[in-house]
Amino acid sequence: MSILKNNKYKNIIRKQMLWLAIMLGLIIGRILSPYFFAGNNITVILYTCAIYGMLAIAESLVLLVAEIDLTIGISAVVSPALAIYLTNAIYKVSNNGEVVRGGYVTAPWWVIVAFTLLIATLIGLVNAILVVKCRVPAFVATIGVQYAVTGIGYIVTKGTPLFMTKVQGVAFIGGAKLAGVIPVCFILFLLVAIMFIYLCSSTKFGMRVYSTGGNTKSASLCGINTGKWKMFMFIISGLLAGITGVVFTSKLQSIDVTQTTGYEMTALAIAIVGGIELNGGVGNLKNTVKASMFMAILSNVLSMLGFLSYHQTFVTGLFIVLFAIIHKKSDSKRLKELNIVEV
Amino acid sequence: MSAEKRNVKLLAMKNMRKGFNGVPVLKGIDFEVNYGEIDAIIGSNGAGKSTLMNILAGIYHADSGEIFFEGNKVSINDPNVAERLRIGMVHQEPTLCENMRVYENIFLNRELRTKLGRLDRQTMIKESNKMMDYLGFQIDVAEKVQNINLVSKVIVTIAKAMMMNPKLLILDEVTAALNQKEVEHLFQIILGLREKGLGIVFISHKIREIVQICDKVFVLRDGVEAGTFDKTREALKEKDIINLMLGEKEWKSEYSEREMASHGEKILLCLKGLTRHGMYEDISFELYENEIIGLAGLKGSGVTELMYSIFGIMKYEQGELLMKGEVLKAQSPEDAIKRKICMITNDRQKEGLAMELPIENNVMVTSLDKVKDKTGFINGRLVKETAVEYIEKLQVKTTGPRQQVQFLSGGNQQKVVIAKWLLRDSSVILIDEPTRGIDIKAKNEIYNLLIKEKTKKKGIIVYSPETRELLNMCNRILVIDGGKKIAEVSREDPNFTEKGILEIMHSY
Repeated sequence: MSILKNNKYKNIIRKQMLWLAIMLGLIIGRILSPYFFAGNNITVILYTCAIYGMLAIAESLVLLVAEIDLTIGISAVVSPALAIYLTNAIYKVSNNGEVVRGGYVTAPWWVIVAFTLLIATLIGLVNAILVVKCRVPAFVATIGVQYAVTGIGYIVTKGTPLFMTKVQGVAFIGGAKLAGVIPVCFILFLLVAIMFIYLCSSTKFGMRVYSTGGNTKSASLCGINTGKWKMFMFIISGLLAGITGVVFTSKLQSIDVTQTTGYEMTALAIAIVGGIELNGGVGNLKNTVKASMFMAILSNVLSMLGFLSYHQTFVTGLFIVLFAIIHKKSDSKRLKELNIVEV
Repeated sequence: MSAEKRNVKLLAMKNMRKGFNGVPVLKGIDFEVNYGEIDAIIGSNGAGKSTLMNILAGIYHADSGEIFFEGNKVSINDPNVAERLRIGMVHQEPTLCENMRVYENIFLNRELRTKLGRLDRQTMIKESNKMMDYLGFQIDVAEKVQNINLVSKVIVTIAKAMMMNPKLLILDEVTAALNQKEVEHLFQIILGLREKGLGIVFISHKIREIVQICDKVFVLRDGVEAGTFDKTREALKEKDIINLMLGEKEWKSEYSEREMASHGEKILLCLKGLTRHGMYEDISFELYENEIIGLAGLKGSGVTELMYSIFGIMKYEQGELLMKGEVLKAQSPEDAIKRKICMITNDRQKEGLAMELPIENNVMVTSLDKVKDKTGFINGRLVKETAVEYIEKLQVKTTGPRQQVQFLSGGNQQKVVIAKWLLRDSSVILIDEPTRGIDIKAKNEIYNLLIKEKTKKKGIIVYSPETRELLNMCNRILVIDGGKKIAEVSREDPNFTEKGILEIMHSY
């Protein structure tokens, strides 16, 4: 283990940990299965990466301002469901008949998309108001909203799935592929990711986010409206959950409220694996993207190995803890320097 | 800047009033600063210095009063307004985002950008370096704030305030963390700024510094103006300032009347050159039976850390610590408690009490073995009896042992904290700020309690930022400054007065 003792290599390994993990995953995948690099499998990995990655970016942004959002998973499926019923209600009132018949949806896709994004953003706004204006701790507020939104989802769908197969153009955003391999939704994810990485690293946006999360008091002493920025992050997070919802619905061409159960926790896990700290202000969205890629590969490889989903959950848990420990290790040095007493 | 602008008013605050939760902190203050003038504000803790300045910086809002800046009436309801008026403030504790880089902190909320709206990091780094050169400190501006030391953090906060090119610069206790050479250097810069015509407000506990560089000294006492000294009319004298700050008549006779039995023969605790670098250095003293030793020093002088080390929360690096002749290298508070040392920390709400539990649970938590019955379970009746006993002994005002601690007044809460450690019956008691934020009557009760306790062959070490308090209960006072013991004053010493101690403290 002489390589690990060398500080230079150690640093490289630590810094490029996620790349290494991704490479390792790919190599193991290739060894285990000749079909790993076959077109279809790559598409599956990229699709998974896009869905989880989008939610992970939403979660990361909220974590960076030292809050947490547990509504994004459920919001991704209830927003489109609610959007469809809203469209249906509007069509009914304007006497154009119904757009939901026997579980089949016939409304034009753009109306549904518009309403989905609107509703998801509103859910984000509700979170924002509860946390910032009513001063409810984010964990409590968003768990409450999560339950409420789930309930609304069951109420409007009556617990039965909706089928979108009759909507024209429904499959594009979730199903279309570029060059037969890369899903369009992965491109969308990359665009969103690049935009937020840029905003965070090179613009005032990043300075506001990192200062608000790093030390709310200092930031407000500088005249930054930290409450506004926290609200802003909740709203963005809501919107991203809505976009995820659109992709997800388009891919499956159906909606069932139980489909995204636990997705917010996966997003949280990815953010943690990527090194975003729950205390805010520490971490980097680039690593969130890498971490989503890693998690997508991990779950794919595990499926290839023939792991049942129960076992997969177990292994995923181990990886989350492993990465958390590695991130903390580089952290404890800092604590020592600050002379923080650890009793 | 021109001499003609001197003696022209830059800032005038008129009849400022401000209260917190119904307790008035500022009771009608008038305060003025001229161009090209260094004004000091001085007063003991809680006199309202920082409150007044925070109003000026837009952090607090005054309940009433008017502010005129450069001749115009202004209402500063937001830090951004203060910035627009070019009022810069350096806060008492460095207010930096530790997770961000030095230059990012300096330019926070006034970032430089390229035409396309991108952050112009190169220029910001260049400008920050220029500012560091001007201030004469070498700090890597691309480093994260969490990785630089305290002095550098103070300098960065000053750089941050300077970067906005202020007309009025408020420096709240900036010298506390700096050494003599750094302070001298900073003073040169401040004097240079005065020449440029800036108005400067300088807040410090170190009266010597104030006499050295300030033009006017504004003395605050309990939220009212106690007086002003002006260098142009008379020479500034440290003693006059201290006298005015304390309001001599009110406090003179209190402690000198108290009888104090001298200490016993046996040494309980012995420190030999105890050191933890950067916090306290080479501390040596002996604590005898029946003795109370007071540690006097400003905040951040390392006293709390010293106590932590004795109690085993923090390790000491060099020196020896003997408890009744045995070497004690406490690894944890548990260890220290077993050796009969206990510590009452300074934040009773966060560290001393479980606020939502009743008094009896709080009292009992240190000595569960004392309320066990034969079966090994905690005996409820015994718990209640013991709690009642201590409630009576310490005169805790309460509806009964089942009352939740959070509903007690601050003084009574403090008594519960003390009760919990008295029950443990340790021989050495360390107390960090025994009377923080409690009223005068409760304070006296606590003094008497501690004096009574020490006669039971115990030794007590007390730290308090209020010198008067130490004079009230201690046999000896050790003055600590910058982590070093600089003087030892016993009760017989003529310097065993508030003035004497303060003079020692402020002359270093």
